[in-house]
Amino acid sequence: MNDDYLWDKKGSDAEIEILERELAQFRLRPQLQAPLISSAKQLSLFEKLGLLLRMRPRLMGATGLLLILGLVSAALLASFSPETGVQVAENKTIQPVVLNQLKPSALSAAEIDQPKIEKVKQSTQLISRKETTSVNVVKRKSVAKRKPPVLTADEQYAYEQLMLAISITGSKLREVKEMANGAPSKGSSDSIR
Amino acid sequence: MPSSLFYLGKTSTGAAEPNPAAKLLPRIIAGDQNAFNDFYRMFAPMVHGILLARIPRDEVEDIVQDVFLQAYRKLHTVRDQNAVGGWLAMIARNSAAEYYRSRKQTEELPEYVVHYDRPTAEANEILRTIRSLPEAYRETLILRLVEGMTGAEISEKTGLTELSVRGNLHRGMKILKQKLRIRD
Repeated sequence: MNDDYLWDKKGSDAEIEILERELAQFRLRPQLQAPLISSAKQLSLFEKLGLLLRMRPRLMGATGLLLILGLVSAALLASFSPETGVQVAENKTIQPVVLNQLKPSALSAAEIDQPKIEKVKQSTQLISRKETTSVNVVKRKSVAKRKPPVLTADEQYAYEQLMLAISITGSKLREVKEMANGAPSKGSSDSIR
Repeated sequence: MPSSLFYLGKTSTGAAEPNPAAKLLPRIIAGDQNAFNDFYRMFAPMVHGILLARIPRDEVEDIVQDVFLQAYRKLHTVRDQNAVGGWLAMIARNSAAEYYRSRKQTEELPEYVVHYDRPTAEANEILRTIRSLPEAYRETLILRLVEGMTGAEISEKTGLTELSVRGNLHRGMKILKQKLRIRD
């Protein structure tokens, strides 16, 4: 065996040359390329924070929108009354079924002898069962003192816009969350505007 | 300058001087794809040979790619940049071990099913015989006989000393010839 040939291919060794020829078939194919660096990149914590910082204006916008929506919805709820319902158009109002309004004087003697337990309904319920009572009708003060709310056309329009905005904001926040987690959103990142 | 000194990255005065691979590392870490391509061309035959000595042939090319991706992700952790070849060889050996740890019960595809040119029966037999040798011999012999590297190149790329490579080549070749003669 020619050790020089085995070491640095100086000289010759017939047996080793045969082995080299046969085994050259297994050699790394030259057409194979290096993998792309971009395919190896994983977002580190700092890169994720950087991404969040870059998206800060969008996040702030989304947060502001949510805040406004919350205020609008709170105002709408405050103006709602189960007695008068919500006016959905200029001359059309949804009227709830109002709790028992019987006066004590109108009750029969039998009803007075057999008092029933009264159930108080939540103020936000539009439909309630009619309950009778032998003594009086108890209502929540807050409900009784509320002004009869009537949604104007503008308010009704705002209410519909609120519902629409909530659905849009939800989908945008979902996209932001996916981007922050590193998952590609359905569209490009430019889809968040 | 002797190749062993070149590998160790020492000048005659003893000052450390980055070898060609080490010079690429900062550029690769900065995301330079061209530098990574050069790094791949420099070390892909070594990684391929190390894997071919251990795992089925039809899996080798995929795992070569995986090894380089792993290396890219961990490149910033390399302490001695002049020894990046040995570090990469270790990743390749670990990947081969991981392949056997994580693989499901599968059978290697027959050579005619996979996309390679069909090797001759003799070539398959020689490769099988090399793979039956002790690990140190089979890795060095495959780098020498399959990948066509010289002893000095094997030493430079893998980080093994020239003495070890020379010994592995000599003893491995001796055993290989004996085994092949016995089978004949």
